[in-house]
Amino acid sequence: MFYPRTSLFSPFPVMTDMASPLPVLSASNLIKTYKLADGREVRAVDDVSLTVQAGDVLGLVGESGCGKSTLGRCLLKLMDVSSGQIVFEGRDITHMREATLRPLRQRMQMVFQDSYASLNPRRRVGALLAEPLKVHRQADGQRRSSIAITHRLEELMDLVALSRDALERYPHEFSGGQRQRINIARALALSPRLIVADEPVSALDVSVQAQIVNLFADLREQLGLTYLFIAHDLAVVRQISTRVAVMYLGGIVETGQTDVVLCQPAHPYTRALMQAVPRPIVGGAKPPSLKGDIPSPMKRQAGCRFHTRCPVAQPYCAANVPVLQRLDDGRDVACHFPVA
Amino acid sequence: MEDGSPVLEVRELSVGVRSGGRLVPLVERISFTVHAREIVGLVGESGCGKSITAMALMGLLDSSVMHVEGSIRFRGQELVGLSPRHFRKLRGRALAMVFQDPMTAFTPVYTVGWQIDEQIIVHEGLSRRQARQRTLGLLADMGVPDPQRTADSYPHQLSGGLRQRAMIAMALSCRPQLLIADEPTTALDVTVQAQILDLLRNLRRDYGSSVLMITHDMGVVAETCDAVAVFYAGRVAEIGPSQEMFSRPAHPYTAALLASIPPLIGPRPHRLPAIAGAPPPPAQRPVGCAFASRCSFARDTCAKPVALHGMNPEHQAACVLSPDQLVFPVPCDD
Repeated sequence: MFYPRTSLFSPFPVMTDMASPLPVLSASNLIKTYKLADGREVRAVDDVSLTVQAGDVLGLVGESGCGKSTLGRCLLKLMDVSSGQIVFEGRDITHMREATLRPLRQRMQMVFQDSYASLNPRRRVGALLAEPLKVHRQADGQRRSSIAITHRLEELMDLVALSRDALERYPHEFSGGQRQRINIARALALSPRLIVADEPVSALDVSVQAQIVNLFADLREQLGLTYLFIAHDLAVVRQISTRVAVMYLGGIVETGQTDVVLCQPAHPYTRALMQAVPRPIVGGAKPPSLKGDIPSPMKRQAGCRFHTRCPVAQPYCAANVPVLQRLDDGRDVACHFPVA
Repeated sequence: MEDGSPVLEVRELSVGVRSGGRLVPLVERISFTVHAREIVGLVGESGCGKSITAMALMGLLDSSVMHVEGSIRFRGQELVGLSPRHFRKLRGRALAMVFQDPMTAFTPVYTVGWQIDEQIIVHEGLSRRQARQRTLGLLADMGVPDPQRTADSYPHQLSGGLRQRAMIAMALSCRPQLLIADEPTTALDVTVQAQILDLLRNLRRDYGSSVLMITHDMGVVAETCDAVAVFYAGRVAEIGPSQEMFSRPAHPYTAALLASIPPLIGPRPHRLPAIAGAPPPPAQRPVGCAFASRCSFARDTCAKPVALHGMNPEHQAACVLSPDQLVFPVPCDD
């Protein structure tokens, strides 16, 4: 049993003295529209702007269909955006050709939810992890030698706390938690700066989930990584993130420092989300604060995207779209009547 | 069943799977009781045997590969060894089940209303028109905003929350004494989950049903269940009233599981107290405590089998240590 160390505000040192003041990643006014077979359009990401500073962990939370995964994929250029701009380490990558983008890809990696589906079942772990090291050349344009690759694979196993003989085994021989460690090792292979993790712990049991959350935190401290951590579990996001952005129906409704946003939510949706999480405390059950389901993103509605379910909505909200505005505590909130 | 006798009494239930000429135990000698209008939780991590237990209760295990031993008494009737013909009369009527994934539990080719009607017609011999009346009433009770339209919809046309409400409506259509809910909210979003949990909590009042809630989520247990059995590696590690279990866990596994959940409010720990390692697979379970290899209190005596015991008959744990020997670390500032 561990004796957890706690500090009241952030469990991580706030990194202000980074060498480069440039954000690792910034996006402005991103829109991603999917075309349906019947000609209709769905705006999965609707005018999203965000900035991820070096050393930050930006937690992206929201319910299914809110666009958080689409946003994550757009930011890494795994899919094209319909409009807007994405800047990675100072370079506009929005319309960059794949060949130009490829060297930058080493510095941005992704970890997925399904640890099994993301590993080729017919290849040994060693071969899976060596793949990115073979595909990408070193900074000097040379290919890596097989000795260098072997050495790096052993380093990676140490980083994610797997034994080195794991390299000789196949993905199915591992438990879900161990497989997620392999996925993390693969993402780390090329020493990236930014990792986008899409629900990396939601398929894991609680006790194993805690191991992987700790691993993400350790690696960040050890390697100076920056994360975009996409998850629906608010407690997990609160544990790992320095900043959070709450999404609803394609848009960010509230964003700021983790403790500011999640401990004193200003947006009624953030507040409702926090209230809805079942806690392991007997007698803590509350009547549900939101009625109904999330409206279909297919039907775009006028006014605030949350007004149909909002417990404090006014007639004004049905007609006027709220924009993100900065409050005194540094958070941004898109609500006409934020909770003070 | 208002005479105080339990709705469900499971005694020394074991389930094994025949594999390569031997019997691999999946669930070993578990016992628990569900009283009238009670919500009892079976909680544990994947592979702990909680869903197998539910399948055994519903008579859904394939007897050609699975071996069931022990006793399951439902309203006094023994279910172990009951013929498939008799089971069919119970299932869907007195004994109903709600599954995690309502998309696969419904047939995609019939409307949701048709499927609920069918259940009522088969079990109660009503006409299609009478059955539809009851279906619409049930959907309305489940908080479905437009019962008529929902009944006329195919499963894929409904949202996850609506599908799960329709699934619960179908399960309740013949007013079962016992509803088995296997991870009923795991596939749902958190704001919808809150609504479904509220619905399940109110079933005992509105329908007089008892609920057996199978879940991996300690939060769901705390907010809905009167009593809990914590499963680990096919055995019950701890059993007792929720109130006591959450305030004073008597098994190191329960305590460690609770500790590994990140807090939603209050200070954040620098590191989460994770449980190292993973549960042993069914074929490799030790004779003694299966949690010993991951337990910070483990000692030599853990290698011997240990039965459930405790300070009172209600709250029991399968641990060689007495509750006062288990001093769990409290998160501290240093």
